[in-house]
Amino acid sequence: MQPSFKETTVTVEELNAGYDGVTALRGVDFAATTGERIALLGPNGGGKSTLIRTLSGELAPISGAFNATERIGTVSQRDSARSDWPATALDVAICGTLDSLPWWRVPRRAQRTAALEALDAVGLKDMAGKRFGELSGGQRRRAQVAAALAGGAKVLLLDEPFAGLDNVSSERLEALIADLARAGTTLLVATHDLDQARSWEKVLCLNGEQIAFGPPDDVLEKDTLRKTFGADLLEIAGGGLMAPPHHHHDHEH
Amino acid sequence: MQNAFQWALDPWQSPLVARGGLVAILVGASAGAIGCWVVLRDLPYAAESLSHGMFPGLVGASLLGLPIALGGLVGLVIAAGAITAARRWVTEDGHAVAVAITPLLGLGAILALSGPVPPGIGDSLFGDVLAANGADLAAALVLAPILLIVLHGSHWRLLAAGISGRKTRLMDGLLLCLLAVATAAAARSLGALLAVAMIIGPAATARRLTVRAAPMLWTAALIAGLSAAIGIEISWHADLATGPTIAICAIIPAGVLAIVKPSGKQT
Repeated sequence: MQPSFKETTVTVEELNAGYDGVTALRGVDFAATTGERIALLGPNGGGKSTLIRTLSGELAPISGAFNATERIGTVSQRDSARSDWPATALDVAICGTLDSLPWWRVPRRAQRTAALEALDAVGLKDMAGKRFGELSGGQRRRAQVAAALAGGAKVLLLDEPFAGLDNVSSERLEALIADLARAGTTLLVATHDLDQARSWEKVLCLNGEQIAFGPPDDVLEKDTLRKTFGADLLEIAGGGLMAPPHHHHDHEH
Repeated sequence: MQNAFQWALDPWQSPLVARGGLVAILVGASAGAIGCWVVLRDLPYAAESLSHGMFPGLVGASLLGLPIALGGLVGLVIAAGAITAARRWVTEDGHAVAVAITPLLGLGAILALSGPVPPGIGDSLFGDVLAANGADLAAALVLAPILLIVLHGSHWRLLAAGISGRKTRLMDGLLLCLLAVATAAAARSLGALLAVAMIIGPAATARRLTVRAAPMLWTAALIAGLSAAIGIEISWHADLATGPTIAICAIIPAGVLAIVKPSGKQT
């Protein structure tokens, strides 16, 4: 259900972020509200993952600050669970509830119920008993979203969730993102797809620093995109622009 | 039929075998369950090395006439310290373990062979199930539930660590502590060199037979407990050394599965 009014869920002020004290991303300053889909655009190494890892608490900000009024959940790009890891989709969703429990508590019936509801919400209820490693790429992403939802996240950070997905899986994931936004979830999604970004509420362009933030109509124009993607930006027939294709790369720093 | 039943019960009528067997079953089942996480977190080399690293402690305890378990624990602390120190200079974890543990094994051999062979050294290496006394049984009765509770409490976080793929030194540290306790406990019955069979064998079998982690742990504990019981039966009737027989029984199912179902890791 569409919330009747927009509340600010994430505020980022003059944030500088990076690894081991070395700044990789400067001057990030924006606010997100309930039900907003924000596309994080930028080249590889532009700071999208750095921002997501900082907002998720994995990296400490070098300077500046951010505040979230709701619980944050992350769907990381590194989908590194081994295919033979002995966990089902339901187990993955239950693991999402751990952060909301004190360290000495184990998940019980309430967490299992929340996990099943979350799997239902992402359309994976029938897959609950299937091994995580045997799910398709798109199903794995949705299971990770379910884990975040089961943990009570109302702000979702998705790092390149569409990378490596086929068209059908991409469409299902995009529909899920739209459903979640309608239900009031704030979503920050790293993507390379300009058309997708155009259809969302806001766009945040990053290239080592914040280039622009705002509604797609204001942000997605040639100058900003050139600053964001530099020489990598591709011009396509008809005068349109295309972000450079995604390359898989390791985000371990 | 009754004869077969009587035949199977035969060894357990001896109080020595009954007590030692119960200790081996309890300690073995705990080691089997912990072994699942050792296998899943790719720590079998650390498991084997820890048992080798405590060798000088075992020999020292034998030479000084101190309890073997105490020597084993001191040996484990020294081994863990040596691995930590080696990690400062050697970047690869596996290399650091090798650099730290091999000299400790050599030190143990020098101590063991420098004079008359100390009494009990064979037992500390290859175990003596029948030597278990009341204190060993009490220790096993206390230790097994504690290990079970810790495994239950950390189960979901260990599972989550594997899903996220993040480095989890805290979880691996907890696992190595549990492993050290299980190894020290199993060394008395099975010996330092054979305890690792109980940790790895049943877990490797259970991994191939189950989909989820919790059933895997129970299956491994069951296989390890059964291996102890069957090993005692075989060693009694065939007049073989008990510890090594149990160790072989713990490994056989993994070997049989590898032949019958040689698919390796499920991908």
